[in-house]
Amino acid sequence: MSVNTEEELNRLVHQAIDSRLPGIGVEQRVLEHARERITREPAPRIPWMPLGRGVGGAFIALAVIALLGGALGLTLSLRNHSTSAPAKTALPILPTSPPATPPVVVPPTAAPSTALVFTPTAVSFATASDGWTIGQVCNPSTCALAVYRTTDAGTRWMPVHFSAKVDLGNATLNIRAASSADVWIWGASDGHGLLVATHNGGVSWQSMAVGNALVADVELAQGTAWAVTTCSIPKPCTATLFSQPVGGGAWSDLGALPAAVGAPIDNNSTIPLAQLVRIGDDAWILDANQQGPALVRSQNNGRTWMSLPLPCTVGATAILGASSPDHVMLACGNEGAFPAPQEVWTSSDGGSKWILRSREGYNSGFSPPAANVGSIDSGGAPIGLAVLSTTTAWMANDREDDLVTHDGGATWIHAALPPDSFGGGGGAEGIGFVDSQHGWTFVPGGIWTTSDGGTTWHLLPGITVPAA
Amino acid sequence: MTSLEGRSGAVDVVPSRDAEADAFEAELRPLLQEAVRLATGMLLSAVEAEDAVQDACVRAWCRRANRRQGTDLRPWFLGIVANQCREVRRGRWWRVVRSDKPGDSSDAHGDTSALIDLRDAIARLPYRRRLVIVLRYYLDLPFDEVAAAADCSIDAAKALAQRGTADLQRALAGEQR
Repeated sequence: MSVNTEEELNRLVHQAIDSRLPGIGVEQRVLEHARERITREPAPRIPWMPLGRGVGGAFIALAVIALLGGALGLTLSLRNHSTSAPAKTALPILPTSPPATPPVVVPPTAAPSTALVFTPTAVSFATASDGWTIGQVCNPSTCALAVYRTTDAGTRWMPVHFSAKVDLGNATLNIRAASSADVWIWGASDGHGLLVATHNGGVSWQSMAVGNALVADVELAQGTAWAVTTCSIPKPCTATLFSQPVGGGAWSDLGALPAAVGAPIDNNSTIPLAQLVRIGDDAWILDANQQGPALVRSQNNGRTWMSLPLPCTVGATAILGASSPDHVMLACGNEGAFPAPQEVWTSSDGGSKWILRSREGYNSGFSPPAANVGSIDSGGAPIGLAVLSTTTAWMANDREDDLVTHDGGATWIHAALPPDSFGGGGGAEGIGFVDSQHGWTFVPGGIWTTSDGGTTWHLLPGITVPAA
Repeated sequence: MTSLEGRSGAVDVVPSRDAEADAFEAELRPLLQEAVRLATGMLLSAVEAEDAVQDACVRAWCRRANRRQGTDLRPWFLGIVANQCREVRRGRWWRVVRSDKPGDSSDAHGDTSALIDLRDAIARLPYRRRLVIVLRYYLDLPFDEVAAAADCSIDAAKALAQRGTADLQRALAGEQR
């Protein structure tokens, strides 16, 4: 097929996309669901524009002028980090040197008008004080990838030089920290896999070639980092498990994944879906593919794997967590609806048998309908799970607040986090704990941490980038 | 519906939250069809498009104070929809890419392989080129409105459309080889 004229392009684009349009009534559904969410949103506590119109208008005009000036500065300073060009081959990651005198970004309590704000897309703390985050800084026309680390629990964040070519519009990136020095960044960008690690605090980065594969997850245990790869339909490959010593060294190939979790991603997607969970010698791989989900477990450090039953309702996505080799929790959700139907299951034998702890939303619209169990009271779908013990677990929810259970998953309560950033905003992006007391959670607007087991959460000062 | 709030003897008429939501909904409703088309063009999935527009409506409500008084809602709202689609494309880590129904395949709609190739080529376009291509050739917007929704100059919108078209032509020529 060739496209030689604008009219021809117009006609073909209409034909190609029209068949993907939602069915009749979509506008009404959208409005009804949005209205329901708006109704649940708390009234804003602080007026957006506290100043009088005249003074406020002048303030905003100054801020816009400053921001535009700042944006120009950022564009120039980040030219070598351009992320707009899509990668044509495997992403080249070269060892790099940090800036001669890396500036320390001391986040102010309020961003100065000349600063651009960093938006986190993934966060990982190795200890209560040592944390890393990857995200982006945008000016009005472009966005740039950025990596920061902290060694004082987020009071100060230091920029880390990271030169991966990433198409931010088509990338899923994640980060896992083992210490202030050892960090892995992985994911997919424009259909290419990415797996890089630093073992010197970001002074240099080493890349791992994964061929056609995408990198789905990295987990740490027993002094090693394991990386799970997955394949996409357009680029066939063998989904594989790789291992690297936490302190650095060569990657070793632990072999192909079991067939149950090694199939390519459905729907021609290039977003990796497999999740890896490790506790000592035990490991689980969950393929959260909605059309062929599967769960496997190894009890001998990845040498052999066995398939486990998945109790989630058909069509659900799922996320797994474990507090011990025996105690495993599975949170399932049927995305799309609001509120999203959800279930939480636990196992006390590593996943061979499951017990339903809570369920909501499957009592209508599903055949056969299933009665509610326990209490979840969540509109969103689970996207993060931190299982701390047989009783306590934290759940991050898409379009919803973070939830916590203290009774093994039967009842969930909303965390003490600002609802206008979580449930009333876009929802949580992730959650994690380094121990029973110290944890973090984040949304695009900021990172919150707790040092008292989630009784109180504190918003870390925003990471800002000087414009000039 | 209005509520009266007394303050220091004066009486201000303040629209209630319900009334404000009603007014906002009424203003938004005529734009939804276009928003759904934009989201479908960007995401190429009916389910994800519906979700994205729903999220965009909530975001628009939350950010309604950011909209300048007296300005047209359309480019502002389409910009929010576009941003929402960008975030969906970026993908939350554990968010599953859903198909419209189990077993849904690329040619389930009876499309020819040429149209499937074109759809794949659109999906592979970088975000801003894809956005401009969809706004221009699927929503059929003039370039000044494309530029407003894409938050760029008219010249930049034209350049992006040109590059996007060239990308599509190259991709489709490659498929033929």
